[in-house]
Amino acid sequence: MLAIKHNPMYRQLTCWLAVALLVLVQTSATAQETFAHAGEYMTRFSELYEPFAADMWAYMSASAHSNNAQKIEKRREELIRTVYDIRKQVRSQPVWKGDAGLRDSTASFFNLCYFVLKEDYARIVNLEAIAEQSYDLMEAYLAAKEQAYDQLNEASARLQAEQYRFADTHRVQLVESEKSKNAERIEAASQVIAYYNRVFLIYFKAFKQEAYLTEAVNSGDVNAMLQNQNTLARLAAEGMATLDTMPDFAGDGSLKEACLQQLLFFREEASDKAPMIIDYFLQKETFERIKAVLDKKPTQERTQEDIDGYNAAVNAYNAAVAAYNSTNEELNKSRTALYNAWNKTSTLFMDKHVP
Amino acid sequence: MKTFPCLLLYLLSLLPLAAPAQNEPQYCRETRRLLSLFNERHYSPMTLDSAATQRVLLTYIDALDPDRLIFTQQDIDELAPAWYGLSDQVRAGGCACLSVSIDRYRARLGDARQRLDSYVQQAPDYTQADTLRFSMQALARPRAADDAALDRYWQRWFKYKTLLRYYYQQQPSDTPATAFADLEPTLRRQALTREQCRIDQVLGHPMGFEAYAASVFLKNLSEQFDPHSAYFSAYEKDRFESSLATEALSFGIELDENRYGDIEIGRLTPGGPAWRSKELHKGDVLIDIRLPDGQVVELDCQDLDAIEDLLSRHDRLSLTVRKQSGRFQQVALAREQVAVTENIINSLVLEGDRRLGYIHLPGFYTDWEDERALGCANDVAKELFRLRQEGIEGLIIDLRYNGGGAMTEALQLAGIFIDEGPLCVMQQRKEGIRSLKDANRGTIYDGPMIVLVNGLSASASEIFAAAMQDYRRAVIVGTPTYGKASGQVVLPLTASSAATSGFVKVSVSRFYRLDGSTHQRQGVQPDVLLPDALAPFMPAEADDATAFPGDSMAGGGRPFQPLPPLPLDALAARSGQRLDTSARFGAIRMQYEDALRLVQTDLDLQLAAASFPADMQRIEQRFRRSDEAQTAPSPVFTARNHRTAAAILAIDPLLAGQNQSLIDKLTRDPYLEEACFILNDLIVLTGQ
Repeated sequence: MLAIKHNPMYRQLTCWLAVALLVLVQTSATAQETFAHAGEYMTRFSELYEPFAADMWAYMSASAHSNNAQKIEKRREELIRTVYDIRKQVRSQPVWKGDAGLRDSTASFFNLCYFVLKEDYARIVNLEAIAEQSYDLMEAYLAAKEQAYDQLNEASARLQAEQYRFADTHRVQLVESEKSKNAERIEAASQVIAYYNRVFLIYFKAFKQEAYLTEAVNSGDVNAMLQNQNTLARLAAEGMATLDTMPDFAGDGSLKEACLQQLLFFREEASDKAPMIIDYFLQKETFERIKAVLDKKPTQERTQEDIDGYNAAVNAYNAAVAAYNSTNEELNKSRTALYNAWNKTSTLFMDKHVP
Repeated sequence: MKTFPCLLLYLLSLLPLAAPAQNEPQYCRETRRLLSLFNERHYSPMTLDSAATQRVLLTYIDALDPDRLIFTQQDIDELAPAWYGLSDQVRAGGCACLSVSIDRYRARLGDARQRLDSYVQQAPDYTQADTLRFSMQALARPRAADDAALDRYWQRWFKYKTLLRYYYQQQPSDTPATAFADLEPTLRRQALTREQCRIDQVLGHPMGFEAYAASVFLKNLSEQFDPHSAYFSAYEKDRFESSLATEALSFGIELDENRYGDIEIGRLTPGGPAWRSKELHKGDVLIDIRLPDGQVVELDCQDLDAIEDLLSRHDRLSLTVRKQSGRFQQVALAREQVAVTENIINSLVLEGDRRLGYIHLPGFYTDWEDERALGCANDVAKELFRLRQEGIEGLIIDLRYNGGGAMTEALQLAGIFIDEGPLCVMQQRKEGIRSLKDANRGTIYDGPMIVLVNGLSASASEIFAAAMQDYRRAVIVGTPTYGKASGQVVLPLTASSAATSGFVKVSVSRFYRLDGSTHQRQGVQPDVLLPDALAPFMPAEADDATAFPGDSMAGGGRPFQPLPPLPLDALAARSGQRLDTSARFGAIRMQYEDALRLVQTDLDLQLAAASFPADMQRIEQRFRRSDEAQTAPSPVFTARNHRTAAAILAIDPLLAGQNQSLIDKLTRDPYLEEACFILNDLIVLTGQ
């Protein structure tokens, strides 16, 4: 079984989308002297986003354009360190005239952001409850991640609302400033990632299901083979139906096409190839039983009917072995080619659309 | 300094408590360890207060003396004070209560032996109007108050045993009746020998008398926690393991104890050495076993366990049996590999109005030694695949008399029919609550389905049936199931692998259904209820006072996605109409009523030679009718094998014979016939 290529971009999901909304809002002190300090207070918070945006972009860019895993990981660690520092700075800020709302909601947002980037979801969501409701560890991981990002988005919305409340309470006029270069890049990249993630999830579900089927074949578990075969066929069909409703990305249909080819392969594997593999296990069992019966019979007691029955079982078993071998060879060949095509298309897609 | 001697005395008095005595009997150590292990691991540990200790004593005495012929009430009253503070005694490293009870048991067995000797000399008075009362209710007859009362018990018991021998000896009615008085001395001597043997077997138990009596205590103590917790001595474990190791090698005979306490051949394994000898038959009574070294082991005074143990230790031997004709015969046998009956013949195609599949699962088997081994669920999946290839329109899974087995297999089996999701909820004392889920996403069969159950479908069978019912995946047909919703683990009593140490089975978990309810005690209630003539005789979890309660799970159930509702009311109504006009089920209902009366009514047997045979015959007659009602083959369906099984059966006449017997039995089974009707109705009503 091939291992799926680790794609750090996938992990980004909507984290930055939440923060991107914040950088659109810049504070600006009005001419009125009495409000100048509150404006400066807000500006001090908004300045903290700049190093965050810079490091986030560096990480996103590396993920999209580099094949160097070490470099990508290094960028991620830098980003986490930056968020850690920002969180510390936010917490050290004084309250403004007894109003701790802005400081606390900013701290809460960066706190969540820190744990999300570290993938420490246990600090954010109830992993036990999620595991209880999930089919397997992968589904639990994806659900934990989704819930963590939901919470991050909620924290972002709360923070934004708090900014407006604070400005209103302390009579600060908010003016939308021009987006920074990094914010623009991140916004564009986020759209690419969101699209990629939708297609990837369709592929990944079927990919994981195929892994279960392979595991069942390796352990000779016919029960698991039959069930996983049935589910692989269903997931491939559902995936194709969803792909059908999705538009191309900026006129580029390559990712969808690569995913479609994978799903067609999975569909064929489930409906045409898996039955041949399962048949091999059943023929093997039948042959072994017939052989055991015949082996126990003394040669002189064996009838022509016995010999004919044994020969028929041998022939059926040999045919099943041949079909099993050729099916596996064919599957391995197609699987490798399609897997490489998917990785190549993904890399090209990211490279092309992420600024 | 003046206080020193007192202090020293005080310290010395503490010593025996602080450190267990060096020569502490092993059963004391095992008792201490058992209690500690149960307190640590059992789902609901027991506090050994005075009421519990009293219960432990009484149930122990009952376990040693179930017929109440050994101990008197006076014995119990005298032993009781020694049992006060049982848990303190054990914790302090002693178990004097057990030692004195075992001593008393030995003495009372000796008394009973002497009493029996006195009966050799003198025949009981058969003219005296004596009655023996048999009750199937929970309340047994009271213990004899003292020795005089015990003597009267024995007299009556002995008369009963002698009359019973007379009754069975006179049964083949083609022989002219012999007067009881003529046979009485011989029959009495036979009955006497049998009773003496029973006592001698206990006194000379292969484990040693003390170890045996203590193992009964440890078993009984375990069962006080709940009916499924148990203790196995090292001796039993050793025997169990040697029986596993020799499972493939066998003489091909299964032994039974007959109504006189003799050991007879209960079954011959088809194709095995005994079967092929053509000289041994079911019902032959074993007289002696001749070992390869020439030693002759008389079996008069051997119990079933001891004989099976002897058989398992020799590869060649010669059996002397008494045939039913009375003739003696000697047969030499050599142990060899006997084919294990495969489950291939347990799946059939039923041909009637529609083609239906039938799978009988006798137990949830797996390889306990290998976690990754594939068990019964995998075999069922393969059978199902083959039945699907035959184009079946509906499926019957038969779990009657399936007492359970591996929980993982029950979950795997349920997964075959359910796409994904939780199947039941497991609760443990320390680990909390956890859903047990379908291991594989997807199904193998999603067509109409029936699960056939009865009162002996237990444990894993019930988990499976409940999951099918909760998901509305299948119609449950039959009688309410046993009612066991708990899980056990087997643990060694000591951490070291000492060969002399026993094992315990501890109930560590309880299971709940997805809505938070339980089938504990009440069983899984069928959607379509069928009468069962034997139901009143079947044991059930609720019969046991120490069984876990049938409570609901704290915090409610677990979310899951059931399938659309099944037309259960319509199916039950149609089945009810059929049953009302069915002669077979009419007879079954009558037998059920009889059986119920039999259970609820105490039986008084007059211990007089004139009336006894007629009384016994009347009792036996009541049970005999149940067989006659089920002998006609069904006009509704025929049964055949699927193609793969047919190919194997074609070259294996032995298996083919067994297969034909199964088909003959199933085509005469009124429950299977009714299940076919219900499945047909289900297909019609759901338009599947």
